[in-house]
Amino acid sequence: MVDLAILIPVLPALGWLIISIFSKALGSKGSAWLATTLMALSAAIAIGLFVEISSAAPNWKAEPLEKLYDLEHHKTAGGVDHSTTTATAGETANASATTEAAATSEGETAVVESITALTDEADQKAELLREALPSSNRALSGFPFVREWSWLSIKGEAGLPFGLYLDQTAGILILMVSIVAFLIHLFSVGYMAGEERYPTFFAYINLFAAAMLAMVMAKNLFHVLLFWEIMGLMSYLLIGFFYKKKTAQQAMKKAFMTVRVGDLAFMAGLFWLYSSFKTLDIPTILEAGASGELLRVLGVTAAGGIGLLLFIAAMGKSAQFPLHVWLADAMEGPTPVSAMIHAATMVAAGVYLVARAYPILEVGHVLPFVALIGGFTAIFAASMAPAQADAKKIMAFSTLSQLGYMFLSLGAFGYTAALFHLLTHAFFKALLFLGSGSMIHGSGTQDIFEMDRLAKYQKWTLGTVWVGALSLMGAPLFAGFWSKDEILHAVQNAGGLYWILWLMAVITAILTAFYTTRMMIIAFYKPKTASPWAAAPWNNEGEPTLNMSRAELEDQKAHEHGHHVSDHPHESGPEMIIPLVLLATMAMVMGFVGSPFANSWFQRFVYFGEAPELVPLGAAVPGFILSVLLVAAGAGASYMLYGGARDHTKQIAPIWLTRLLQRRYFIDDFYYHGFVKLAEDIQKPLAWFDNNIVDRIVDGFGIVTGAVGDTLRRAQSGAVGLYAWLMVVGGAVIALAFAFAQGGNK
Amino acid sequence: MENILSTIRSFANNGISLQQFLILGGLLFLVGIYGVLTRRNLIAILMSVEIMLNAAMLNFVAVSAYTDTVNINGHLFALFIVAIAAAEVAVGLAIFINVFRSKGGVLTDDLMEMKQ
Repeated sequence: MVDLAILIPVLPALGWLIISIFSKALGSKGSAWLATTLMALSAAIAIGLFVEISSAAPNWKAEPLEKLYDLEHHKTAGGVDHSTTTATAGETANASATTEAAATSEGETAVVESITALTDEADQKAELLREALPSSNRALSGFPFVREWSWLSIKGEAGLPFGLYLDQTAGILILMVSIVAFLIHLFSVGYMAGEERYPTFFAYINLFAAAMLAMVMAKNLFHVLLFWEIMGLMSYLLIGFFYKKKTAQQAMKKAFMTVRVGDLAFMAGLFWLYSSFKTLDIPTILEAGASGELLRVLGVTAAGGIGLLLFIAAMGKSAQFPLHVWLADAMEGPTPVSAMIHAATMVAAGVYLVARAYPILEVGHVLPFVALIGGFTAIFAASMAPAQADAKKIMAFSTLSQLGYMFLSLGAFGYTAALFHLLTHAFFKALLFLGSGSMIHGSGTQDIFEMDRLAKYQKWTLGTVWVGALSLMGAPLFAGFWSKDEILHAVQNAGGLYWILWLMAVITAILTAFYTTRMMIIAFYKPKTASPWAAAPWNNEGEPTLNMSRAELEDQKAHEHGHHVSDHPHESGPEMIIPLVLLATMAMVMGFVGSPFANSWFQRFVYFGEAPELVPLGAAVPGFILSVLLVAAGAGASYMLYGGARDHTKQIAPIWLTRLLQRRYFIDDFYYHGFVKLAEDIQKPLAWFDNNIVDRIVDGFGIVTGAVGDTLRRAQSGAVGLYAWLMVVGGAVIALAFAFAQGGNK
Repeated sequence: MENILSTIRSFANNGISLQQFLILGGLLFLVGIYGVLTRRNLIAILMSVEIMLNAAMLNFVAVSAYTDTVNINGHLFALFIVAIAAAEVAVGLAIFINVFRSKGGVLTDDLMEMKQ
């Protein structure tokens, strides 16, 4: 399976290529099913690969860790390839020198040689190796898997080999991304039916998924950047998929340019890292981080700078404050795209990057900052969600908030908890987005107030979305419960001033339960009403978050067609319901992999550093109880305000607060009136300079040339005979000149 | 090719020197120039140009045959010149036909329009 691993990103990429070229021949349905089939194959390989990774990964039993970590029990030595070096360390270390080094590329050979060189000498060197690689489990057991192909190599130089690095973190992400992406593909077959550019859509999401898969598998941070940028492009194209809408055009630009701020930091960080650490190789960085070499070579300041830049990149991609502005507007794309961006790809990329660069951030003391940004984003985004009327916007803010949780966890040394939440969040958020897609599909509106008692008409959607909602809230036994609890625990254990962040996380949990319940009640159980804020004064200003005036917005609405709220919502077709049911099952089951019921399998599988840190059951139970209380508080408050026969359109919060929240704290306005205007003010004198100085100079050249030509033109008599004479005379003169010059030389 | 080469090289054995070839080539060239300069008929000018090309070709072949007994660089040049001359004639005659159609003649005097 490891040898097939490369197919996981290649298959969807192939789908993109084939559909791009042959979409006419394939037809709409053909393209869609091709894309979905390839994604399914990719997911199947991913599952196989994951099984292989999980069986090869060090298996931490619930024994005392010191005993487990004793190297006598883990004597297996290995090279980078699982087949190359398998021999016991110590006295039989010599055996590893005589391995059949089936290395395929130069880089592999070099690594194998360096390891054999070390193990060649007896115990002393083996001891050295152990010291160099204290995370011995990964280094000595032929795990993580590595595959490399030479790339950009010139005349035998190493170049920049393209490699796959398949460790536990990558394994989890591959599994999650491929399965979620497959289900989103399947859902889109039905959801996007009848849309213009239907095959193009599948080509795009295929490449989107391929880029994400390739990114999480890449061995080198340079390749991570490469696929990161492909994702940036695909998100741009997909958010603007309905490119005829001005709002979509604005949203795609906004998303691309906001993320670009982070990308710039990413590149700067990589340049800095390469110039001072001489490698972008992920395993090398991880090992150097564990052995303390990273600290020695980089020092705290450089590591801090690089870590900060990489984190800024993650902030852009994962939409953390203050680069969060693009995410809510990315809802302009089709709903499956929102699911793709919010669950499987894109936003997960930022978390993944921080997880990969974790040693650098740790050495550079960036983690408290990560936690601060994450914690703030969590509560900040959660506070905006209750004031929204658009189902997708509510989901968008919840994504922001949940991503904030992940960064908070990463910043609080909760590496495992963050990745666990990433995994569960991917499933339940994909479920929620696809569910809201089904709601929108059935009712013809995105506004939860305009949805007419969907519970009556959409039984399947109701059930599955409830699973997603309960999971998002963190209701007991659902996926979000286990991972959120793990995060709260990690933050609580971080000590110091982290208690403030812990408090913020707790408030966020209440808010999450509150707004999720609110959305469920209004959309599913309340009859259709007019959206209460449609005529609010601040909504007469157009779309300030997209820098669009009211006139522009109305112009767009006049051109829109087919937007009509159906009186009787209907249930979606089976190709949409099946993915929902599958995702709902996952959202219920996935949480258990990290629960005490599964003996904390996830925590023993994915961890940072030498060994997993397990939360004893006794310490976890108070957290569980707290979680239940938080959910009950939030959901209960929501029911008290909106549930039963209460008028859900009543304005409860002070009107200025609603305005503040719906306008997203005016941060978007600040960006438009601050940065965008600033850029315009800068470019105005430059434009004047271009129009009046540069253009004049260019025009001057033209005028002079014209004048010279007009003068010289008169020398042309048009008499061919005269030209011939002049030519002969000229030729003779040149010939004579040459002859004299030759004579002079002699 | 071998036969042609040996024929040309045999001139050298028969007491004909390179200079004689070059003088012939020079004379041909001058004849061509004379024709180009004096004729007013475009077809005659084209014919003269062909004579000049032949003169150059002769020089190439002669110098190549006399100075380099191994390679046939000059001969290759000659072949190129033949090909290009043929193309030139084709293009030139096509132009002349069009000139004749629009101006009613192929004399250089017919083409004095550039002078306003």
